[in-house]
Amino acid sequence: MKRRYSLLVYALILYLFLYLPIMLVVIFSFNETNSQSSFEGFSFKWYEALFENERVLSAARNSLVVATLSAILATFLGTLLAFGMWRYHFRGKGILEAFLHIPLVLPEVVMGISFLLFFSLLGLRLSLLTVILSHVTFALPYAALVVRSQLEQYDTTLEDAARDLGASPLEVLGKVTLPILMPGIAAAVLLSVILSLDDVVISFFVSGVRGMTLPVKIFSMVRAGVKPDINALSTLMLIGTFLLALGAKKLFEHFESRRTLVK
Amino acid sequence: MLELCTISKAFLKGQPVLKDISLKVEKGEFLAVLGPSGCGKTTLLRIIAGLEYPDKGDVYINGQAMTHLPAEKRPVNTVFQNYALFPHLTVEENIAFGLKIRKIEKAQIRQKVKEMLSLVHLEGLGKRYPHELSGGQKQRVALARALINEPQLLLLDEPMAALDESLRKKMQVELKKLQRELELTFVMVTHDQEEALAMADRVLLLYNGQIEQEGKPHELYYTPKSRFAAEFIGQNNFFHFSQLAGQEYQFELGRFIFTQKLPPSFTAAIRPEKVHLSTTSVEKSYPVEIRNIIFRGANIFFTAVTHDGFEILGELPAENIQLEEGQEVYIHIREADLVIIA
Amino acid sequence: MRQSWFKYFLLMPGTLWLGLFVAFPTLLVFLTSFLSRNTYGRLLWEFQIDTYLRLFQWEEWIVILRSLKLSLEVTVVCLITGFPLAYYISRVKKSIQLFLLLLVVIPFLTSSLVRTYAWITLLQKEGLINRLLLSLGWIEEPLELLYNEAAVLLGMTYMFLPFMVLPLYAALEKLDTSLLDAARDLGAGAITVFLKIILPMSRQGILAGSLLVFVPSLGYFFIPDLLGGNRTLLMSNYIATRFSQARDWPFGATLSVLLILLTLALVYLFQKKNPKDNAHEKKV
Repeated sequence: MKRRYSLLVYALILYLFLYLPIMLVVIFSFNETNSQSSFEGFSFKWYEALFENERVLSAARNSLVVATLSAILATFLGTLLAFGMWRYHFRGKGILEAFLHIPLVLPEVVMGISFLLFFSLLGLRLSLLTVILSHVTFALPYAALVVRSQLEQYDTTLEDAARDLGASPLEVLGKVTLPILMPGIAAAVLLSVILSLDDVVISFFVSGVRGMTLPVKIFSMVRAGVKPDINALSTLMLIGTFLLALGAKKLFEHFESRRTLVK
Repeated sequence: MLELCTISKAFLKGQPVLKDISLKVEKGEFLAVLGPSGCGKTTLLRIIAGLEYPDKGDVYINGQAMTHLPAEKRPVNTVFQNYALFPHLTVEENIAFGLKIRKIEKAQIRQKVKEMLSLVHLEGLGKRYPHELSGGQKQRVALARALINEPQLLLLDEPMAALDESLRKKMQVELKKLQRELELTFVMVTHDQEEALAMADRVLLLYNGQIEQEGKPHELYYTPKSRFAAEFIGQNNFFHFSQLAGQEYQFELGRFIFTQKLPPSFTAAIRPEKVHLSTTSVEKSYPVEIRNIIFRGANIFFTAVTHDGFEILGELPAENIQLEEGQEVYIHIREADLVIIA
Repeated sequence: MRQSWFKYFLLMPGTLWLGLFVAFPTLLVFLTSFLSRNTYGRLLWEFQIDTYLRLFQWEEWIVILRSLKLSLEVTVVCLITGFPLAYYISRVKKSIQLFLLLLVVIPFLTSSLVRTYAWITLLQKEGLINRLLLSLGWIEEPLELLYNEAAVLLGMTYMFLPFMVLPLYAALEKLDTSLLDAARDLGAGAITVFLKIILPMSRQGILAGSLLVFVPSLGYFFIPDLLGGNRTLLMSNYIATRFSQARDWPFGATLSVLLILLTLALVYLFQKKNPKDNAHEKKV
């Protein structure tokens, strides 16, 4: 029993270690002064400053554009690929499988510079476009794997049933396959958005001045020094990613509950 | 109605699944395709449905060749083994699926769905999702979803497999009644011989991709043509007869004199209920000891053992309760009850 | 009847994308590592292997060794701090287990940059920790807690702890409590139980967790950059500076090749040991 308690205390300390730093960032974002160590009054002034900072706002807009477009494209490509690899056997499937996993293990720095080399070879100027292309690439495998995990529970006799009832292959796709896989696809979109919003390293290499995303902007701000408006920005980022993660989790649960009940 | 001509099919690895299957089903007929798992019966059903194509042979429905017509263009509907209800659609939407695909008017769809719900006794459950239904209810939805399209031919793939024993018996009766009343043509695949015999007008016994025997249920039961048929349908005792002289034969219990001319060596089967007992020795009776009496409601089953240890399974109406284990009696075998299998 | 156009429609776009944006750029890194550059940093189509020879010079070696050492330290610290937590989670009631796991995962789902920034605010000279220590009278003037290896170690541990806890939990969760009771019953002390039963049975989890921490920490870039101060501290930021400031792309590419090979070798070794366990794929 004594051991139980010491473990409990240890776990509490570790959870504190995990959460305290983040919580302090949030708390000090509402500080009157720019101190990060003593709270001297509640204020929204850093948030106001943020919304007047044109460069931060444009970086935020960039991030939203990049996250949305790259998530949609990555999920589209990933879904098709997962579906094709799940349904068909073909030569070179193993190689494709390996390539699908490379972005998962490749160090971010290396992926970043490989994109940099690639774009400079193509003569593409660094911009939002290059950022989007890169984000699609690293999100694609995640999207494919999420969709694939849903496919593994998908019962193909449903497609037989639909065809038996008169549906053409396209109607089967639109009325049966896609609606059933939709929660997984939506989760893949959300995950891709989260990954895109979290990425600093790859964007750092491929964004240039014109394609600067919010994390890259924060990165350069942090490099320049600690200021409470970064706290405010961080707090907003935390809330944003947290809500997205929550949404993804809800979608998964929704799908899971339906599946287990069917069994 | 339905005609299959020399259908053959092999899997990708070249292993044959079906070999030269030919069969005919009349309008309003209920055909059961019976066989152990892996005999090719589901493949046969999928070929009729158009979900798979034969390597060789032709499929005709109402005299029209449909061999390579895809499933969605055939006047055939299927009740799938695990019902394959669409989990994202309600009961009503599931049932309406086929009509919606055919772009039938909405009001008409609503009307027909209502009719179907009452036909399969699911009134009031139309707004539920499949996962909120019991096994029996799911089966009814699957049935309604197929029947609403007024198929000329309804295929049923192990429709009872997912139901429990008592519900299965009830649904067998109900399904057969429905088939009679609506004068539908049914082809049902099953591995359950009792179910096949109970429901079908005609049974096709499939084994290793070939038709082992075909006929009315009582024909299959009482005159199996092969050892496989005799073993698969009901229970049987097998004897091996070898000629001694003329029509006198030696078999496991002793000697037997036939009244007809027979080959020098053959196997014959006898149903447990045809094994008669007597307390005194008569002609064609053999001494045995009774062991293992099992009471099964209306009947009792017993094992009779000869001096050599050969076991014969017997069945008697339960009123004959005088039987005791260890009792020494005589088995009486009538020539007419022996089914010669070759 | 599945027409083959449908198959190509499904498979082609993703395959082409992976080929164009994964395979080709990776090959480009290999290629660049053999190219030369002029004094302005422009790549020249002249084959060389000097950059590879350079890897054997001591001042380059030291970065590589320091990277490996730090990754190893991060892994060990994560293992030691994460193990008791994973063990604790695996022993409480099932319903609480899920909640506790979620608590481990949630920070991981928030922006990693923000989490690193959080430590800067804490560790800086005017930060909370220095202020606390000052007010307690333990120190006379603020300590320089940032911009050293210890800060990087702390930040990385903070970042990768969930990677360690999750696979450890997965392994420990399968551990049957009755087994521990049986061992106790046979007279084994707590240490013996830990060494002879718990540790061997959680081997899978330890391996998976170590891989999940070691490999990404080798290539992590902004934690050493922000917390370490020194921009050539580890391989990752060494590579980054070869491209951004030094404009020595061939050598940066050479270091990248080394990093790729190291990573692949580790993943390969791990997979050979655990043919069925694909834990590294399930980062999320």
